[in-house]
Amino acid sequence: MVDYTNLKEFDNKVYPVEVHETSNLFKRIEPLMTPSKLVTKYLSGIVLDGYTTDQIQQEIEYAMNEMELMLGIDLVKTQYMERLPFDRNLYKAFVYCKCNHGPILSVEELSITSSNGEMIYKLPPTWLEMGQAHRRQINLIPILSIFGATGLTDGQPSNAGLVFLQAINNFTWLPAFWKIKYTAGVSKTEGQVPIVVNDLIGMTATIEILSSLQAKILYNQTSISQDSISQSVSGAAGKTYQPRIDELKENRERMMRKVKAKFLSKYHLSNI
Amino acid sequence: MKLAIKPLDNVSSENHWNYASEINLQEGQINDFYIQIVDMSKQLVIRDDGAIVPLRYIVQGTAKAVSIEFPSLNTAQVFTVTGSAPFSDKSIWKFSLTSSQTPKSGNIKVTITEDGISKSFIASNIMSVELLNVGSC
Repeated sequence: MVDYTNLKEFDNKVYPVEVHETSNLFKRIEPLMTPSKLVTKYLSGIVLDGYTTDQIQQEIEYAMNEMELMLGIDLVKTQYMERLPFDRNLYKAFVYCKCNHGPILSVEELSITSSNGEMIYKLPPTWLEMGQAHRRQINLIPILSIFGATGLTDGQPSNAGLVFLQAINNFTWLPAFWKIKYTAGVSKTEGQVPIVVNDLIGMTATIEILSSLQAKILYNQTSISQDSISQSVSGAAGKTYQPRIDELKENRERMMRKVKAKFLSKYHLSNI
Repeated sequence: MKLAIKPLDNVSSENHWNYASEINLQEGQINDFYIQIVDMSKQLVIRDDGAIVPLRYIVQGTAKAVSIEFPSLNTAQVFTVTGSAPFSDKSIWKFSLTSSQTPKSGNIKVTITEDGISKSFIASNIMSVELLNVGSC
């Protein structure tokens, strides 16, 4: 569990990206995918032969995990702790911190910590700039408060750690200098996700279920004849649902690209 | 023993109810819901309608209780509700939430206490809560 008593939050909503406030005239979020919703939206009319609610639930859980990995975003709030290097160029760029996970919802701690875990200096959360937190970028801009008495109230300087602070002057790069604790997730409201993300989960689970169902279909042709009456039926056998699966895969790929573009930024960082 | 829960709806007596696939609640109102405790390690029963259900688990003991913890990453938002057994069938338990108690959608943690001995387990993605703010998150 996480203590959120001392933090700096991202001001805007996470989804839609860069939105500050919305009305309830249009629904964009909903609870995490459930079996009844999956069946209603994606599997309506399909005979779920042999599938129990528990099995559908399990398929949804697997789909959620797969989507979390494929999208590179957390479906529910998760706290991370990262050790970031001291990079002179990034330091001069207002302590530019590029985190590995996002969208960042809040930062609970940014400190200078030694390799034995001793906190040398905890930076005041008020100095943190969260404007680009949805793109996993945190900066430190102490310009406004550094001259005020309140600016240093959260700082915890330690004489033993002076060498670390001096290191800023002597090194261009230190492998683990900053420690940042932050919470990331696709929604500020736990358990709720954007409908587009739920759609991706639903498509992924449906692909697995349809794939499993069509594998059970053994025959592609049946023929019955008696006296002068005959009847024959032919089908795609193990490929009965393949067109639907292909359609879902195509939609999923297209949607994933859009979602990733909303939450991720591609560029290269270097200390050369 | 592998304990689990099955959400129930349309509960009118211990003999009249349906299995539901999840617990559906709405924010901003008093919510009641029922669950049945089942043992997934016992032989499954195939009903007339083809549905496969596990055997119920009757909570034992003189002092017995079933509680549900609604998780959150934020410690301050975690809360627990203790259920009541409205019928003589002690596998069915009722939980009542006030209008200010809004769980998060997803997993819940169930704890069964029988004469001081507790058993806990997670019910996965079983809670679905519709919020009043649906425009952004």
